[in-house]
Amino acid sequence: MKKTILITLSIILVRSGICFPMQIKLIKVIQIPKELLFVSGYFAVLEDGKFLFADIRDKNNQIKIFNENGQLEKSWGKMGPGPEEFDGLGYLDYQTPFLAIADAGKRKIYLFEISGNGEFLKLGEIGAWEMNGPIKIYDKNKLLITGYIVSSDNRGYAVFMRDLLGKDTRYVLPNEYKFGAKSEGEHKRIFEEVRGLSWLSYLEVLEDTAFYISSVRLKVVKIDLKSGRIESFGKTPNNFRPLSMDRRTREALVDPRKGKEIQEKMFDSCSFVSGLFADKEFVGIIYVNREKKIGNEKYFVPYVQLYNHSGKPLHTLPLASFYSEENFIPLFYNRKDRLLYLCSILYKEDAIQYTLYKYKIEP
Amino acid sequence: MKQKVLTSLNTILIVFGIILSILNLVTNAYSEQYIWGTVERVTGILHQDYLARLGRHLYGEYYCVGEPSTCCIVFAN
Repeated sequence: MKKTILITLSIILVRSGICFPMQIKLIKVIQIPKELLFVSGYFAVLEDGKFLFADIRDKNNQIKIFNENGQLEKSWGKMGPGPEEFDGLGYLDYQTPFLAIADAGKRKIYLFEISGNGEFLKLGEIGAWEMNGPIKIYDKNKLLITGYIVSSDNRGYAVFMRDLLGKDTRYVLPNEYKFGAKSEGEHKRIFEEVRGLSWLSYLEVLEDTAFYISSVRLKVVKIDLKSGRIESFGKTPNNFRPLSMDRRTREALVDPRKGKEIQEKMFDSCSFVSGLFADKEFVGIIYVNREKKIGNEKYFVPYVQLYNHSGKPLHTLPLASFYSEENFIPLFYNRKDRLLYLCSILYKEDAIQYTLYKYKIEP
Repeated sequence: MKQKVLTSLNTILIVFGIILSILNLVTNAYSEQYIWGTVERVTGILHQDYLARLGRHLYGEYYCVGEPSTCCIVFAN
């Protein structure tokens, strides 16, 4: 009898997530030398553990590869108008062995295959002038792109899919779903509260499911890429303070004389979603609060919220040591080993300091 | 009397035309591509660089991004 009660109790505890909570352990901090990375942030971790960064400002080396100690191993990619030259590389995605990388100046996305010996083979490129945010590889021939695109029936979309030949565009996420609202009325109300500081969004793809989240609401939009079905989930934790501006504040925000002051107030008083990742077990959201103070400077610190695939919240955990001056956190998630890499951005007097924090998610 | 009214009307029209041309209140679009968006305040050098290269820069730290609402950039051919 006693044994049965104990077993039942254990099952209830495990299923409810009360017992055996997940842990996110900081394994390593890797500082990238300031003089080697000019203006960057978006990165990928390659199969051999090396870091690939896009550097939008470097005229001679738009792509840079660093080893696990932060030493530069390889760099290439001149800026210019030529077919093999780039014009401002930014958002990227790496799904072994494919690397997709967005070129802002040329309004194109390139797809490379990285061979075992580290050679980059260009598979193709597509035009994507509508893009303005993250990109994800869906399969070898298709890319998911965030931006703003209008379909032939005059409907606006925040996410679309384009094939590598650039011939086929599929509209994936209608604009009115981007904040996870249940109705168009609710979407319009949220948009009125946040516009002016709401353009950042995050995208993740896991097999045939895409996940999308805006920076201003803690609602994940889950899209079945086969059926097109859209649903949303997300529970706002106590320490997440959603952005909400009245009309006067919004007007002051777009006024160049008052905008900075208003923005700083919003950064101090509100929370922002700053990253999204997923594997077969869970979906992870990273959000930040500007609550760390060193001297007179304030910094954003991150929290991770994990959900199962039914949208049930599992855990909300702080991330040790990390802090950044930006309210977005470039990240890379290694699903196989459950390694989460976050990039901190600190503006120093002479240059920008990029630091990678490597975490392990453990059950 | 009639001539006076007509002259006054003519003068008003001419002055109004001159004011309009000074204010450049003409909406001509010469492009096949355009971008609608909201005026967004963007901080962070990376995103400012990225959006500027995408042709979204408006003024200062303000860019035209995302949902159609308050701005429209028309690329000239």
